[in-house]
Amino acid sequence: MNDIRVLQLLPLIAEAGSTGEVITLFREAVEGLGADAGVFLSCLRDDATRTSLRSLWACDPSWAADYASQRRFEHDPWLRYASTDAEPIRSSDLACSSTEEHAFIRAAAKHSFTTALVAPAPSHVGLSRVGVLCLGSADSGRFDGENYPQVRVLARALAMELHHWIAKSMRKELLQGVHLTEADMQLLRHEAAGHSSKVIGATMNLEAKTIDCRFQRLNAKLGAPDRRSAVRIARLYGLL
Amino acid sequence: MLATGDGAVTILLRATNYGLLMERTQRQGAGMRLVQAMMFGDVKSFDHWCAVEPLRFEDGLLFNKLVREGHAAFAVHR
Repeated sequence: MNDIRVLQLLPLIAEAGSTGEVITLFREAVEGLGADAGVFLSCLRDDATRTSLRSLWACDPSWAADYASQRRFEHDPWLRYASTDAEPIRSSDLACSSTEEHAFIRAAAKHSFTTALVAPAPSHVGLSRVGVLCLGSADSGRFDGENYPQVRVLARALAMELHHWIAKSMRKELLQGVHLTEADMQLLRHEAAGHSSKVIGATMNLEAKTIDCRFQRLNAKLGAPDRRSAVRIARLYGLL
Repeated sequence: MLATGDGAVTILLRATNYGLLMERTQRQGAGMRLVQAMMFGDVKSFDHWCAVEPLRFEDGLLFNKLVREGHAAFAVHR
């Protein structure tokens, strides 16, 4: 393990200007941590029906293809663990809860994840946005050595940095796509504070009906059915 | 951007200073979206991925285009 190199790489992740650069840094960090493979997944639940999984792959591409084609994300025990716990854990200590999860573990083992270190990356929006880093190795004892405490700490830091980078890039994408104005942000802040259209109108010297119209336009921009959902989306993407 | 007829899978290839970036988006009917990003440092690793990419069975024409575009990107940056 090259812990000094990993420590040097960690701050570079936040500054990475492109997905290509962040994957390159990720790959180097995976090697620095003594792992053979790495995958980072960020799960964003917009509402009860929409889930978006963003992922960075620094491993055998056939695992990425298998994960997509077999819809492994539906029974991913590592992602499930990260949704309920924040502590890094070795896959050997993680109990599978279904036959599909056992199948997942068997499939992962064929792609350099014979053993894995799973490092969750929680967020301030709870289960709405969860990240998980999985470091894998074909060597079943790779994460059992005396340097495990160091690897564990560095893996947690790496997970948090990657999660932060993905959140930042998603926020940037959202803002590019919808062109939110400062007035829109002001409306969102008022709604978040629980102000009615009448109160917001009084603050902005506008009629309540005008505020309602502005909210309709804002909701459409964010693809939200109502202003409450618009605030939720804004919080989810770190705009508020 | 390459996309299947029904838009269920889209693949974006981009030549970068770090290699060939591939972003694959898969949309499931029930509001689920999986975005996978990976880098290929050389043609060999790209071909390895192509050999397992499910599109090779699902949409042969698109798959051939994907292979061609990937190889072209490496040829330009050689």
